[in-house]
Amino acid sequence: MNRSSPTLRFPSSWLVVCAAAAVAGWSPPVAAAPNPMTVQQIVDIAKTVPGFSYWWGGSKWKPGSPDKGKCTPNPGSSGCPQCSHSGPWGADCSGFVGKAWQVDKPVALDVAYHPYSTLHFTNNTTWWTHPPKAEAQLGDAFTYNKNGAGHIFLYEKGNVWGNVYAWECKGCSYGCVYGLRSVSADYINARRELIQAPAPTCKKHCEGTKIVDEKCGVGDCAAFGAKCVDDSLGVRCVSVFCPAQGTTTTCLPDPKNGKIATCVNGALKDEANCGAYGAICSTAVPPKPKCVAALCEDDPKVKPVAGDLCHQGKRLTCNAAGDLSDNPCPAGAMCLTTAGKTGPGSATCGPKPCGACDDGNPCTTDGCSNGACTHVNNAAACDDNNPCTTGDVCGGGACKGKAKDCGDGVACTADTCNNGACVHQANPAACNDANPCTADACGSAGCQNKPTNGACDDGDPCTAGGGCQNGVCKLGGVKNCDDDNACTVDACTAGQCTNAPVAAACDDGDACSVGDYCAAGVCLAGGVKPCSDGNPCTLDACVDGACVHSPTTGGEPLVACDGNAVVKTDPCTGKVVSKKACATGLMCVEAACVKPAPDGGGATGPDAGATAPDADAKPDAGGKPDTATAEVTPKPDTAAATKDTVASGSSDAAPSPRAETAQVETAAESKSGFSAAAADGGFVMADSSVAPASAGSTGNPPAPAPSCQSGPASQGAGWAWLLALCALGLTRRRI
Amino acid sequence: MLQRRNARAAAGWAVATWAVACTQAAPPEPVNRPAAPTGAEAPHALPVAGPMPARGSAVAPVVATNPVQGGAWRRFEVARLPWGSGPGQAGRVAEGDQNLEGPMAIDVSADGSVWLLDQVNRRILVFADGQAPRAIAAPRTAQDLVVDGAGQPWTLDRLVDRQVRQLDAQTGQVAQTLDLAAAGVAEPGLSTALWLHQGHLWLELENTHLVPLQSKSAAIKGRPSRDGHWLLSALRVPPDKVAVAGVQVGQTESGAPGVALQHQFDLPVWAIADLDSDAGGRVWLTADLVRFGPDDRPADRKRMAIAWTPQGKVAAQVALCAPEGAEEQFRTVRITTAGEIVNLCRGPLGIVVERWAP
Repeated sequence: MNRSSPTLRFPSSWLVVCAAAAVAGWSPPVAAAPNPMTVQQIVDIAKTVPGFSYWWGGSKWKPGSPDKGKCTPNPGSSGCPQCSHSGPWGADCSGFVGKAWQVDKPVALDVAYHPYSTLHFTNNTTWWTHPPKAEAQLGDAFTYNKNGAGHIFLYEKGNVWGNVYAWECKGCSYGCVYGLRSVSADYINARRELIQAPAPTCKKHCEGTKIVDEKCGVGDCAAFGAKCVDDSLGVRCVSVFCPAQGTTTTCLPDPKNGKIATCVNGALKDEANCGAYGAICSTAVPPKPKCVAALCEDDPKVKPVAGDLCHQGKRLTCNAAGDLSDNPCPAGAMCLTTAGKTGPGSATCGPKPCGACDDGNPCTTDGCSNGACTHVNNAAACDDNNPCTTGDVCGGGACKGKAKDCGDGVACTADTCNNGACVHQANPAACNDANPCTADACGSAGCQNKPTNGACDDGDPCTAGGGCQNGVCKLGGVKNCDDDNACTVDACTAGQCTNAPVAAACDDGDACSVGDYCAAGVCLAGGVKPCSDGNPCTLDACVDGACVHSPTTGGEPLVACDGNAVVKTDPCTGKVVSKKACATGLMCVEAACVKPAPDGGGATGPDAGATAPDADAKPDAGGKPDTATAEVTPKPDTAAATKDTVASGSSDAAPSPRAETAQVETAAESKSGFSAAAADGGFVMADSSVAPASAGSTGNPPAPAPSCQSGPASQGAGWAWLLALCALGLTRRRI
Repeated sequence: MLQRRNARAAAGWAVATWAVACTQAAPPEPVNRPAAPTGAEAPHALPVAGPMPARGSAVAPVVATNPVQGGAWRRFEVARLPWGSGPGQAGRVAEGDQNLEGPMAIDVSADGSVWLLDQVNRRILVFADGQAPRAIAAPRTAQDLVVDGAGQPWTLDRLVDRQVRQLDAQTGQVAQTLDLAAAGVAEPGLSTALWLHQGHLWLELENTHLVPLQSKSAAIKGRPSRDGHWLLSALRVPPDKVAVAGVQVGQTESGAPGVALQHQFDLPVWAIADLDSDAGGRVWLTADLVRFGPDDRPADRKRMAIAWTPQGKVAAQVALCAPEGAEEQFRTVRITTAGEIVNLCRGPLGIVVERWAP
């Protein structure tokens, strides 16, 4: 940090330290020149600082801020630097004067800027001079600095004792203050440079209705209903309603009520609206204008008139000065306005007239009392204009008669008076004995209840067929609610049949069903009567509840080698269906004609290296080996093989009934879960046989394809599940 | 830093020479420390103790010449206290950029005790004849002190709290508070003295007039004289004169002075330090006289007290210990009823309270 740099600016904290250290010989910072200021501008700033806190090293305050900051001496200390400060605002003595003087540049009061300490103000003349103290003037500063201690305050003026009025940020305990203080002769005076002369002034004068003030500002008195006057009292605006000098009272024109005001040397003061008090301003009452009660003014309202008048029912009295006072009428009297008169002098007190008091009521006696009608009830004979009353007389202000007696002594008649005549209206309802087996009537002798023999209702809606017998209602039979449904419980409730479903065993009428049961009021078959005899060569069925086992023929022939021929045998009859010798060069091996191995070691499959017949080489759907196919058909994947095999079967040989059955079942099963099983890798049904679907995909040798025709001896372990499927297929087909 | 400076000041006290009129006596030695008072604002440690005569009987008097009558005035030192906060010291603020401040005021009670407002140390020191000095608590920002006829001290805080407080004479606890704003004082910062007159407290404003603090009386133009005849006003007449006007009580309407006194000093008058009177009808004025050098700094200074007889003749002229340094003080000269002068004088090393008796 270069303390001698002419352009250096010090942080305020550094300056505080430096100020405390008070090292002699420093060069104060020099920066941009301050703006010219008037003394008044300095004073205006100074006046904002009292009340703010002393802040060691501080230099900012915000005029008008309620938060003045606070300096607190440390415990046991007398003040700064053993102090702490809180709050945003505060200044020390040199921070304050530097800001009031706006040196070395203009800085807002609420921005910290503290370029100079008392060391600078006392020992340098950067932006200020040091005129003699005897020449101190407003806006100067008294400053002192010696041995690390210094103070500076802003001078306002001196007093007769040699004390001075000053603004200063005094210390931690005092804060920033204004007041009179003594001044040690050790202080010197400092005066800011670039003090600007105050704004030009004018001699106050009039220019027509316009007034020019000391600051040469121009205003127009006419704008305020005044004129500019320059007389012994000075230059000023004088109201056009006032004399230029003296104190008078005047009425101001007002279209409604008039205003009253006091003129003091041409100025209107104490303006008041007479109308606010129900009055008008009148100049007709000497010695000076005054507010006069409007009621006391004679039209055209130029002069008040003495006399009484009625206002809102009360008598008021105006005096000649226009003052209005209450003048109540005596008790029992009222204020009466003389006909044809208005205003003061129009009122008299008199009894209140009643006017027409006849209320048209013969039962009251009408009168008048103190201007008010009276109506007293009487007990005179009268006519209530009702022929059904007799002996009419007044009571309680109303004419009332006694009801005419029309009673005939018969209880079941309603006796009334109609326009003076008695009427006896029979009322059969009064004779109702609540018995449906009697006929009720009202006659001249009273009620009659004759027994009847018609139908009646015993009150039970679940009975029917009751009837009257000698005036008594006998019970009928129970209502039939049987719906002929074994699956409901029948009942009658409140006359309504109910047939509630019941869970029970039942008979659906089909002898071939077993375990029938009720569900939702309907008898359903529980299951099919079992008729399977376990013989694949019979067709099992239930007919009218009896099991029928019909022998079957056909089906898948058994294929086997018979010598060098392939023989097909009916599995149910054991008859040879066909026998076909193998062609020359071929030999029958495992029910197929195959080409022997070259080395005579055994037959080989169409695929080189294969030691077992490929799935593609097994008999087609019709059980007929297709030699050509067996020899040359490339190995498809399982799905293709299945499809292709079915097609081949269709062309090579007519499918057997069972094969058709299998096809139908496959289609049906695709909707009932079987196809899903196949897709899951379980089974794929091809032709009438079922082959493991994994053969083509795993690469394992395919197992021999079992069939319903294959017996346990030829099919080995695959027989059991094949048999179960075949049995299931038959059973399902029946359904 | 403050402690070190005090230590240096105390060490150099015995050999320092900082005021011609104040160099004769050595500082008293502390001998004991009375119990601290129990005021709300506890003062710093007590100052010197032991017999500390308010009338200075333990110290050989200094004889000064009365230039008018040629008679001898005897000087007594009531106290000599180096700067500091400890026992036997007086507080000041003289560090950094802030107001330099010393003990603000003194007063003399009816029993002759001298009361010193050591507000920097938040205490009042009381020097009673033949007794150990004692201290009571005092407000930090009090600037003036008067002791009423019953021996009760009152302080004036004109800048911060803006209150006059009556303190308990033994503890310093606040016994009564008078709010200056409530008393109608619009700008308490312009007050220049707390004044006792006819048993009531008054506040002097701008060295010109008194306003009542405890009554509804009208303001008084000037300071009432002790004999009850005059309302006194003083005026500095630059460069080297002072004038005193005495308007007879009851004649304030006319404003015409019944007494007009004037005096020319041999040095320019810098400030009037006091205007008072004694029971004998003498009018007293104390002025600080300063001749400035070319740099506008003091080259020569005096504090002179001058007394006039009721007939307007100069009755005494006494050169007092002249204050030195920039510390602010508020009321440093008192005239007793008997016409003695008590002067609080400051210097670079501390303060001296001196009493001058004819």
